[in-house]
Amino acid sequence: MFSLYLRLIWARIRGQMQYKAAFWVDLIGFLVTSGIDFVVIAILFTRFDSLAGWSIYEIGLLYALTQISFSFAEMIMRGFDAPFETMMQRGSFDGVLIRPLDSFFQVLSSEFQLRRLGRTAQASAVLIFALSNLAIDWTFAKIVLFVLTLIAGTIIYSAIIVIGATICFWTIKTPEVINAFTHGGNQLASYPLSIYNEWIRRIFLMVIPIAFTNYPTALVLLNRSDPHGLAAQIAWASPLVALVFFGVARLFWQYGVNSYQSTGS
Amino acid sequence: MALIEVENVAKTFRVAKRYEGRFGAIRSLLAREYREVHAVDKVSFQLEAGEMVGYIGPNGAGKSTTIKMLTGILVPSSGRIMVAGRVPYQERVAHVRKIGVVFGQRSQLWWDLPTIESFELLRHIYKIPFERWRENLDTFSDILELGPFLHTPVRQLSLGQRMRADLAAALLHDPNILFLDEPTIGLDVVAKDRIRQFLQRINKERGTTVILTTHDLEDIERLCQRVILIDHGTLIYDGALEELRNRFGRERTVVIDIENGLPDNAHDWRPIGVNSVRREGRRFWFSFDRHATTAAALIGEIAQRYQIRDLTVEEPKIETIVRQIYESGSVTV
Repeated sequence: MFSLYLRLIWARIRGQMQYKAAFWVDLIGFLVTSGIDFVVIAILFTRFDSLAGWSIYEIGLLYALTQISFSFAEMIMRGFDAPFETMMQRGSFDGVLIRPLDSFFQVLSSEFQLRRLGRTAQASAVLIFALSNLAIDWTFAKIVLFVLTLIAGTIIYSAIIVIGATICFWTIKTPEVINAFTHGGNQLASYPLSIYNEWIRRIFLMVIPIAFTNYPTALVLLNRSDPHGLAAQIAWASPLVALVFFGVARLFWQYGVNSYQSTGS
Repeated sequence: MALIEVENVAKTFRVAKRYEGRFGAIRSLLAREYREVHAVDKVSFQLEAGEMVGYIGPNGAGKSTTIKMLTGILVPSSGRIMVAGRVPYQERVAHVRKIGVVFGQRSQLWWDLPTIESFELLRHIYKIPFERWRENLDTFSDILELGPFLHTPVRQLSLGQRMRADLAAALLHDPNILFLDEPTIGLDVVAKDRIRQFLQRINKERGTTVILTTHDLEDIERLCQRVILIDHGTLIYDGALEELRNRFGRERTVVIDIENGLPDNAHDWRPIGVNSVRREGRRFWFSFDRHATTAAALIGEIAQRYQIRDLTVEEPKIETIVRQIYESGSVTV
């Protein structure tokens, strides 16, 4: 199955490479536009020394963790993004249902957006900037946690993208509100969770667990504690939270496919 | 047990009502009202393995909806469908492994890649043994003449080429049943002919069951012994094409362009067997009953009076046949 996935993705990437100029323009475009995000935060810090006790470098760590995950999710889950909307509008989802493969797998392997590496590159630069100015006492456990968090974050953002796509089965168009959770979510997660009021914190921990893309892990890495009493060790639960959330998204997807088959849009 | 069993199948869509006027969009958002559209209404038929059947009807009759239910894309609202012992939508993956589907309007190939690469990917998707795949590809390339454009990206193919490539793609995994939704739509005469010949061979040599929807009666005439005719979601005829034509499609039309020098009495003249004559400038339409006279006899007769410059013979349109079926009162629904 995985080799078929690679084969299909490779076919897509070769397809995209038919338009080389567009590829490079987009790659650099993503690098620049996403770069502006952090520039805005940096400008903010020319007026303040810290934000809720977090330095610019610590914020940089938060930002990089959530941004890198988001860029991976956008790259891998591209099939569920705008191309899926087009698929719904043109009725070409029928073509998915006549192939002897799981529909989720087919949509997943229908697209891969390499050009989002622009965002990854930008976020990685911020990560290097942050880490080189922070004195983190790296242990093996911290390195493992760091990597696990990136994976969990990718899964969490992926699940949100899947939920957005699934809504298309009824509305044909992904509602804008999903952008509030993907783009909006990773903007919000660029700041410490502790600055938000209680119900926002609850939503981002328990309903749409975007907080798990960075905040608890940053607490552990930086030896900080949460002013509201959130145990930093909850960071280790990130992969589990991510998998459960993804499982829910996957079930919702199946429900959407069944509904498509009985309404036929 | 028949290969395909369709029993009292219905498909009802709920369509949101749209309101006219300036605030129509808002109103339809707030007060969602639905009306039911019966796309397919209690249709029953059976197909045996090896048959080649035309599923015909006017636009919007429910042809595509039926095909989508047979292929497992849609779930029937009621009734029962069995294809090769399976309920298509319940065992979708196992079901589609054994069928081939071609949508005339939409390619299933990878748009940006050379045609051959789509065939390659399908080999992996359907897990076709390499030898068998090679063999099939060679056969299809040969009959459909795919060779010249195997390395051209699909998006650059002409409609006819794309259709041929899609046909080959749908058959690489040796399906038992081939579903074709308007396979000749938009094609020129030569391209249509090539595709029809190919379908005939596949059906004869491989025993592949073929179901095709079309609104081109010529497709049916060339390919199918049996036709199923639906209109407004209801089955109104199921049987031999010959009989359908004898009963309801008897009227053919000879269209003739004549040279200068019309006789004065051109208006009154009506040869034997001709039901009606219409004229526009130098063009005449002679509609005749195929049982009363033949096209050849009629043309001969006309040629004695006029100097013919050009002529064609038109077959009855599906819409005409449908109308005549209703008029004859043989639809009991």
